[in-house]
Amino acid sequence: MEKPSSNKMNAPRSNSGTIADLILPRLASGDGEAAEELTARYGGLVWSLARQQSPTAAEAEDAVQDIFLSIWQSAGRFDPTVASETTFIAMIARRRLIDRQRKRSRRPENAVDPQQFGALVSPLGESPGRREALDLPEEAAQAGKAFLLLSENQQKVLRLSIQQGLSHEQIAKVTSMPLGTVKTHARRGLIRLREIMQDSSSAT
Amino acid sequence: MTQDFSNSELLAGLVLGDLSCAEEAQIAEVSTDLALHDDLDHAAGALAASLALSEGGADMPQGLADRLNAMGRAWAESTSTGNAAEVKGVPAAEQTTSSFKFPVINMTGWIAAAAAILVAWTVLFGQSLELSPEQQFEKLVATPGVQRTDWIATGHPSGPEALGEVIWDPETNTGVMVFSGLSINDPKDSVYQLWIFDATRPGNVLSQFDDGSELAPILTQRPIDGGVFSVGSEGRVVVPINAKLDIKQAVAFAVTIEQPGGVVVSDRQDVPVLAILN
Repeated sequence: MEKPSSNKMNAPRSNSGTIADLILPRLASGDGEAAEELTARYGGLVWSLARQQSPTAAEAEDAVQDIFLSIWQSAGRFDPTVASETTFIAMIARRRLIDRQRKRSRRPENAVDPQQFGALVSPLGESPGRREALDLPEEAAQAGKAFLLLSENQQKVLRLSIQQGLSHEQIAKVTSMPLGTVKTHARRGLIRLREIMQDSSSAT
Repeated sequence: MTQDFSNSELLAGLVLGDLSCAEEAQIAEVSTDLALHDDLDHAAGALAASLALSEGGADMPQGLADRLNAMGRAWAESTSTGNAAEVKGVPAAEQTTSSFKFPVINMTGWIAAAAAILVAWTVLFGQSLELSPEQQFEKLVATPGVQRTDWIATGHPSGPEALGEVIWDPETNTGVMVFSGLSINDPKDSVYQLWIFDATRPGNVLSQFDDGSELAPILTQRPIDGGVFSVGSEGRVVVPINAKLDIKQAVAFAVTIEQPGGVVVSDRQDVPVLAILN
């Protein structure tokens, strides 16, 4: 059976210098050492995303295991002409974390409590354990630069949504913005981010 | 605001996971721009990485890293000891298939992979992996109150004589599909995708599917994505259902053939099997 393949951007998007630097193709071909390199290179990224979007450390550990299992399963589908390895892994992590958040939100004990999110709107720089910024892979750096060109409200809402994993209802409570405004900032911010990133890619 | 921009906002909402039920119905009415959806998903992933890494990241607990290393190594090596292509063919969207009629050489790879992972997971994490599809099937059929209905083959070339059933537990919103006779697919070319029709969702949303029958109110609703999957054998295959939203009252199931990764809205041009709950 055949169906047309999806649209793809064809420019190489490897965050490393050469294809040989990529870990996922080696993992998919059965290279056991690649698994350890994967944990070493991307464990911090996945752990950061999971920890920020999980209510407890135990749930974060569970989420990380879930995410890595998905990464191993998906390694054979990684295409460096579509996304960098870092972005590919972050995309998988986001999807798994959104799935987990949906499951949590079905439980009544996880109803929104604005008080518990107070800390999340504090500047991240004030959080204990903050470390110096790491060198960003090229594509992530490009996204970071594009992010700074968004409006202040778009940045605030997208940060809470994508980095902290808050639902838009939760963001509305935390920021005291109307829900519709939150949705508009988030969606238009993401659309604008994509436009800036594409313009940037075209320019280079 | 132009219609195109409104559609883009809906796709952005889909990527951000914040669509309301009304918006889900709305997005079904527009022509879906998959390339835009993928681009927005891509941008969100890159931003997630940027925000996490620009804060300096964080060190994963060493114990967790050690366990992942051992587990990952077991996973990778299991793919090389058996039939790597089969293992890599694990369906795109987190689902797995099982078959009792794989040729022995293929089963060897699967057994090696499954055994290595199960042992590693149990030892390292002190817990069992999620139930296998067959175990989920066995658990569900023994559960009081589950609903079962047979697949109806539509005569589509990908399964003109396909057989099987759907087992659905309305209490837990879980289920499995059992097939035999569905064509083997290459997930690089196409995937199967399940759609679940919920009687409580609004009908008459997709008027193009109004066939004038008594099922029209169901057929014209926007069904819930039940997940994409691949079939590695024309023998018996068990596939867990991975519903993306809560199902309140499942009334029908349909399997379509879609491009890799699945689609947000199906054109329903290729529907090898469907099933209706009484």
